[in-house]
Amino acid sequence: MNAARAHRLMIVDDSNIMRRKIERSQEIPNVEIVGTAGNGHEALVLHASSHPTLVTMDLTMPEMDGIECVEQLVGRDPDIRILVISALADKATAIEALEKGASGFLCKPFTERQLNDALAKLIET
Amino acid sequence: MKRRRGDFDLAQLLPVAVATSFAAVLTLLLTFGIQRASQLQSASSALQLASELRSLPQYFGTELTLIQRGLEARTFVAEPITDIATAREGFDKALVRIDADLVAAGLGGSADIQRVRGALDAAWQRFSPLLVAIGRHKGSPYADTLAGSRLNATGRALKADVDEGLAAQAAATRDVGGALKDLAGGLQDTVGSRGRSLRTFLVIGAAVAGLLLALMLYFSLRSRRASADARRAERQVADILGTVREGLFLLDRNLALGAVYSASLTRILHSEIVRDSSFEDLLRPLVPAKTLATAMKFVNLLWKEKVHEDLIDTVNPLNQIEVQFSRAGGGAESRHLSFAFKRVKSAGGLGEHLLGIVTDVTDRVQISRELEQSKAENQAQLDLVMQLLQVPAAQLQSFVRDADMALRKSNAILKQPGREESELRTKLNGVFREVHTVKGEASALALGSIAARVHQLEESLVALRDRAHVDGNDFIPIVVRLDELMSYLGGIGQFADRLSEVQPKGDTMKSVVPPLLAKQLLTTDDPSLEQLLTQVVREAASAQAKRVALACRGLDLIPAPYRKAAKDIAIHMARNAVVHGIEAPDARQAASKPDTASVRVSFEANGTDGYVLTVEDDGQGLPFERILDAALRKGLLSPSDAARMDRSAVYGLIFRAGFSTAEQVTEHAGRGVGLDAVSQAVRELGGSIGIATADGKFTRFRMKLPQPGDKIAATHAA
Amino acid sequence: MSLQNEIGTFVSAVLNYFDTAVQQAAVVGTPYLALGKPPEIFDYTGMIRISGKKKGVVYFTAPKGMLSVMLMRMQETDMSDTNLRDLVGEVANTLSGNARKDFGRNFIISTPSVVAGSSSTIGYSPDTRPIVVPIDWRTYHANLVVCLN
Repeated sequence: MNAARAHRLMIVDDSNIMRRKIERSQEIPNVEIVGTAGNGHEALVLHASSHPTLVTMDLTMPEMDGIECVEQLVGRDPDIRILVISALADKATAIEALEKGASGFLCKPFTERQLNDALAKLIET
Repeated sequence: MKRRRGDFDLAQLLPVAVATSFAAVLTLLLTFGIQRASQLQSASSALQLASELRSLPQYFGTELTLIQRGLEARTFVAEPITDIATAREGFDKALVRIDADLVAAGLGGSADIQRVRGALDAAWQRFSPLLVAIGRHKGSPYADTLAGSRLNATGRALKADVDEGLAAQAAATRDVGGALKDLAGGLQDTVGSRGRSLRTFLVIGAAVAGLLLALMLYFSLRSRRASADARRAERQVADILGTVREGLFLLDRNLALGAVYSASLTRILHSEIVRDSSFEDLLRPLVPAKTLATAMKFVNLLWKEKVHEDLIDTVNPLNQIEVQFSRAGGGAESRHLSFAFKRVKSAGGLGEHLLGIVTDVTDRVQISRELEQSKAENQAQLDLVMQLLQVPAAQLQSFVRDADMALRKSNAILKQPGREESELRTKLNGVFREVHTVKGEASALALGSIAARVHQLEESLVALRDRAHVDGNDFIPIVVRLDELMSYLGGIGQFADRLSEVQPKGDTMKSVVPPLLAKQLLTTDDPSLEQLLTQVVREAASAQAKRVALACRGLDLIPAPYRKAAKDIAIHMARNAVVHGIEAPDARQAASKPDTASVRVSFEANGTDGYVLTVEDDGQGLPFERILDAALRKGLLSPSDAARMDRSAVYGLIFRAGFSTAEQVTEHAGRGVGLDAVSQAVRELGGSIGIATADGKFTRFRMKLPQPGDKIAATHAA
Repeated sequence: MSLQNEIGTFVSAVLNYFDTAVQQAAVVGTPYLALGKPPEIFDYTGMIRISGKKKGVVYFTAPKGMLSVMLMRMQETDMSDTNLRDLVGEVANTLSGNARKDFGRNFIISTPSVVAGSSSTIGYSPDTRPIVVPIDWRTYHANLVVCLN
């Protein structure tokens, strides 16, 4: 990916606190947060209007769960880079999300540094 | 250092290219040389012929003179005539051969040689016809007359030709000989220069050949060194693979194992690696099917370009797994393995392989567990000390003595011979009773930590008792726990001893412990049975959320020989009364009974026959149906037995080993061992147990004991 | 590795020896602690000493009769003292081998040694309680003793 081009980040998480935490923590240059979504449907709507290139995705959400959302987003944009963020209760679920097209996994709880490292790696993928 | 494929090929091709060009030059040189040599040979041959021919004009002169003299003397002259013809033909042929040699020697175009050759031809053509003419004269040259022989016409013609020949001979000798001399001289020069140039060629050729040899030697040495380097590198790789403690292996896109892997792999996985086997096959015997499926999915993720390998570390299901390896002599051994996977990158993308790394992390896991355990133990130690401080030292010492005795008795049971399944089960029940008694006493003294430890041993025994089949091997954990428990109690014994040394005049303790505790610590006498029972009932009632009042009578009258047994029995029965006899508060309320239940324990003389220890509660009574059900369920009796049993026989079942109606196992009761321990103790003392109960009203156990002198069983004198 | 696992290793080593070398299975009795006095020593005893993370001694002690019959089953006709010593030595060897294999680096295991005579004493640390695992074979009785702290 071209480093000079700005990356557009969408945060998908049903928890307000988590969304704000990611917003606050994110400090990678060239990454612009284009919006946050509280569930899968909102994420798809937001994707249509703001065309994010990067996504942080919670797995357990109401309405449409993270895995389905990953699948739909990848279906719309095969180049989209998705970082799945979840408290890791079940590795099989995380692996399923990666099979559906996510690029990486970050385990809750995480530090600011871990988030930024993960986002940096997501960009270089 | 990066090395492109092209560089490598060129380096390999260089010696071949150089050798080939050298060989071509050498071939060219040799071709020239061979050509020069054959030219030289032709020139030499021509030279030799020319030299030989130089004597011929002289020869013709001699022969002609012979003919002339012969004719004068009228002798036979045919022979010299033939000789001349032969020599002349020989000369002609020699000239043809010289011409051929000259052409072969590459002198066909040489002007000098051709001029000389022309002169030779001219001189010969002048002389040769004269010789031809002589040869033409056939028949005798003489005519015989009476006056003697004289020349006939032929003879005269011959004589004329011979004379003419002789006349020309001098000139011919000069001209032909001179021409031949010139030719020979020219050829001599040519041979000389050709010989020199051939030598030069040969020297150059030898030099080139030498150089080629040297080059070949150089390249062969270099390739030898290169292959030695390659071999050394190969050996080093083998050394690394043979030495690393990690199991290293490669997986291709089909997740098949590569041919090269570290020696540790077979050791860590406890299995030989079959050629071309798949990773899945390798893993299958080690992990549950579900983990296997997840693991294969995970490994396949690494082939997806889009997935970042560092960002999926945490979902690796093989990150730390516990696996079971069967041991040679039976049984299994549990190990902890950790698998990691790395992409082997090649220029511009994913390579052909994943590198797998497996490590045996059992030690690490063990250490971290031990650390956690020791943390927990420290906490337990602190708890224990707090508990121990609340029990008077003498009481503690007596507890430790009794417990040690019980554990020794357990050990003695284990030590008895008997290998049959039924014998093993008898041992199991025996150990169980002893251990359960210790637990009961520990709870009675509110020594929760000790009770918990003993409870663990009890758990092991229960686990064993529930097995379909037991053998001696299965007792190893039991004896190990027993050993640990003895050490543990030994430590507590020491603590109690030290405590008893500091306690008697222990005003100093007051300053560091609360007044109530200090009062207890200062009590040096054994606590009375009543105190113990109060404690037991309070503990059990609070654990069960029941309200119970205890009433005791005559307990200080128990004769010394019965004190220990009566204490054990009373503790068991009182706890049982609270746990099993007394109903839950709401059930009591529903039955319009007082909220606070009552448990009574009394000891009194039984006329002159001995004594009776009574434990009575105002609870629900013995549940006849449930006892029968439980006994049937546990296989303690058959349905036909059950049909024949009367009420009192059914109640008797509760004293059988392994009987328990309590649904939940707690530290307080429900193991089904309390009552059979009581029954055993009473029997050992030569006594008997009587039961009286009424549904929803009360249960009363009367333990009748003979006069102490009558039968003193050495119950605890193991 | 816990004491329980270690004893398991030694027991299975001995049982395996009977299964494979003697070709007749032995039976394990209930293990117990040797309290007060040292465990009984029979005519021949093969032992290994262990140091390192854990210290102590492990030995297999068997009466002469048992060893003789074992030799017979192994097609050996010479029942000399040397051969009987060799046999308990062999058993001790398998103890050592299995211990090396299963316990690895945490243990330093001595080469097996053999003592003869039932009056021998085998030294062990006084603050450990030896665990005795009775090994019954045919009508005979031997002991595997594990004494580790």
